[in-house]
Amino acid sequence: MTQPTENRTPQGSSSVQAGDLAKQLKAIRENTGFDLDKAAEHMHLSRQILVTLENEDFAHLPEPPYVRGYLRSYARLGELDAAPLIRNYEILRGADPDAMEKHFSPLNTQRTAPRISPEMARLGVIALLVLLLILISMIPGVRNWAQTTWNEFAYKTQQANLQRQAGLTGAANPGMDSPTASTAGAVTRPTTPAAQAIAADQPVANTQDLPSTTTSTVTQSSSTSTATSTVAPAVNTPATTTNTVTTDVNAPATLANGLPNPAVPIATAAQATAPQPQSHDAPTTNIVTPPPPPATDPNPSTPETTTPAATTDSSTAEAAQGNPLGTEVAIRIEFEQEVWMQIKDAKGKRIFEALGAPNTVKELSAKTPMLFRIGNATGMKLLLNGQPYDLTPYTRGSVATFKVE
Amino acid sequence: MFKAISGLFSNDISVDLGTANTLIYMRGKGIVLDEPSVVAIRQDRGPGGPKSIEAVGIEAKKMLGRTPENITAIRPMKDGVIADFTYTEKMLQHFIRKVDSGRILRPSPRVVICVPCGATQVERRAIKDSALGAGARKVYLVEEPMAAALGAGIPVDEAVGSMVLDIGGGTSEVAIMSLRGIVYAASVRIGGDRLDEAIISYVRRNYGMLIGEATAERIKCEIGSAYPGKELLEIEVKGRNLSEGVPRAFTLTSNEILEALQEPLFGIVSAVKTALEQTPPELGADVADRGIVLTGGGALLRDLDRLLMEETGIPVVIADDPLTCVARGGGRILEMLEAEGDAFLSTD
Repeated sequence: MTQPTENRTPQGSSSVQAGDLAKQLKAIRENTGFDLDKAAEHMHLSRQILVTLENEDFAHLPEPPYVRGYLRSYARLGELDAAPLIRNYEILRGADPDAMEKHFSPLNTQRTAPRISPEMARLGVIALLVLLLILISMIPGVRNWAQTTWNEFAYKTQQANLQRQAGLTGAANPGMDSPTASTAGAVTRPTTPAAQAIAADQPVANTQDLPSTTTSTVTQSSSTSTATSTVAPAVNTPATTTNTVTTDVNAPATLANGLPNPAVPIATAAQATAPQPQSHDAPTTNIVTPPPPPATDPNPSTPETTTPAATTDSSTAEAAQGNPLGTEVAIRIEFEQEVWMQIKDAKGKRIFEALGAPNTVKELSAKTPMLFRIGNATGMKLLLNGQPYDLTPYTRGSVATFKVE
Repeated sequence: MFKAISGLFSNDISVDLGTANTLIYMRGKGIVLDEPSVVAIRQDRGPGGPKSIEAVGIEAKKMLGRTPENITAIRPMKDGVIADFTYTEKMLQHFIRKVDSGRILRPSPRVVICVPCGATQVERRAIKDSALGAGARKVYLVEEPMAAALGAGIPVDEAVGSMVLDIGGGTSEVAIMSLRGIVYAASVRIGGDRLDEAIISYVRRNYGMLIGEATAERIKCEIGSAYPGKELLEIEVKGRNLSEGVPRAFTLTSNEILEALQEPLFGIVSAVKTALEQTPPELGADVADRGIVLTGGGALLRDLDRLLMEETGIPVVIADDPLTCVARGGGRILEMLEAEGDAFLSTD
């Protein structure tokens, strides 16, 4: 009930003196003709409170909110405005009489619009933050740390992907764990839909995407002279260096004779088309040993196949490490998942571009240098001249980009 | 984590989410918003079409009773609690954004919300969830009478009994407090809205005229009285004549309104008397000595203090600026929150 500041007159309020309020209250009561008892009864206040008020003995009065209420009752008694009484009371008790007015008036009506629109200000803040980030990234230590962290993250992600892929592959096809089994599995798959060529430069290449079609092409070239002329343009077209066309490059004379040359590429094509397990026990066997001629092949020539096969064999190691310029490379792609890939030659011309369907095999040959670009590189296996080609060093995320020289 | 960091830059607010008006007090700034709790909803393409907020606050209140078919002006709060959760949340969101509109960053504020002491746990939860949905970082719920007492400047910390009667739009809360706790509290669902309804019923019954809520509120504010006064006040209003079906003007006097308000006022007086009966004698003596403090918009009804004084025989004082007492009390709680932590506050 004790008030912190009592009967103090603040500076600048010298017009209100101690005793002024008491006089005002007494005057109000006396003007109405009430004595203390009657006024107390009328205002429903105790006589003691009225006496205390009229003596300005604030120390023995309740808290200011109550006193202001009592003063309003006095004002009502005299039918006067309570504001001057309350103001005098506030001054006498040492409070700022205007503080309440400021406190109670809603501020939203006086709110002024900001000079800069909030949107612009927000953009400015964002620009500052970006600038700050750029400046931070220019600190060498921070940049090295960021690069290291990023590389670690990328490596872990890649490892996780590889492990997941390995797990999936193992679960889907347990027999593909060893290279031999892998090859065998790949060769027994020609019945599945082959990789779908998206954009091949020549129509021949389109027909060669399906192994069965390739076989029929060979058959035609061996039986009719028109078939030879059909394949002949492929000699000059890199895009047609798939399967049978490769044969044309190696032995154009043979084609001119109208006889199919069962050289390595043809043998490869034949292996892809003819499901003969004994010819796919090992990748090297596929290339060196001539396969049994297809049933439609009228004149298989074993000695002729040996020579190019030997050449290919000798270049196998080179293909993996980097072949000399212009070397023919046999490419075997085993799609384990849906994989998009593109192969371009030195001139930037597309040799092969396809979206490989899962569990399909694509075989072709082309001259180095070749530029490979493979999406979802972990979903396939690449064999160059029968040797597995490790894509891991060239894989960033899931895309592998590399050049075979 | 983000909220904790953003809280360093936020301005905490206290919200008096009332049935009639919503007030927001911002720490260090005072009352920054005082708008009606009304939302206007637009629904195009017929029933079942998409709904959107047409207006909130003062703009929406102007639309009350004057809307076309595709716009509905509603009061999402009823009897001091949430009647429409979705639009209460939208309204709060609008108000909080409005008070933060001048700032570049708008981090989530801590919000103190005042709830009627008679609100159930479900109703409290709804209020809290709506504030969280409106963007609050943390929500504290405070009993309205306690906030009103703090806002009125009553020293509730002391070992002295203080009685507060807060008459809001939907409810009237009466409470006796001591040592920062509520000794007794009661809530009656009688408030400004009930007074308006009583006026509408009176006019309909005695004049055969239909008036709207806005007109009834204007009558209450201009000539409404709780106790017979020396002067007789009059007001001319227009309404629809129920028998003729056309608008007609007629005059009402303050004595008629006094008669119309008798029933709801009796309910409030009864609540006060019940509270006094339930008050422990020592605290009752304190109250009898110092008086009852009136807060809320209902305190502005002419001679209501007089009525209560006559009925109870106890001094009745009207708090300074009674409309903002609850919001300012919430503001005091925010200051206490800074100084003492939030141990004394409820979040449920």
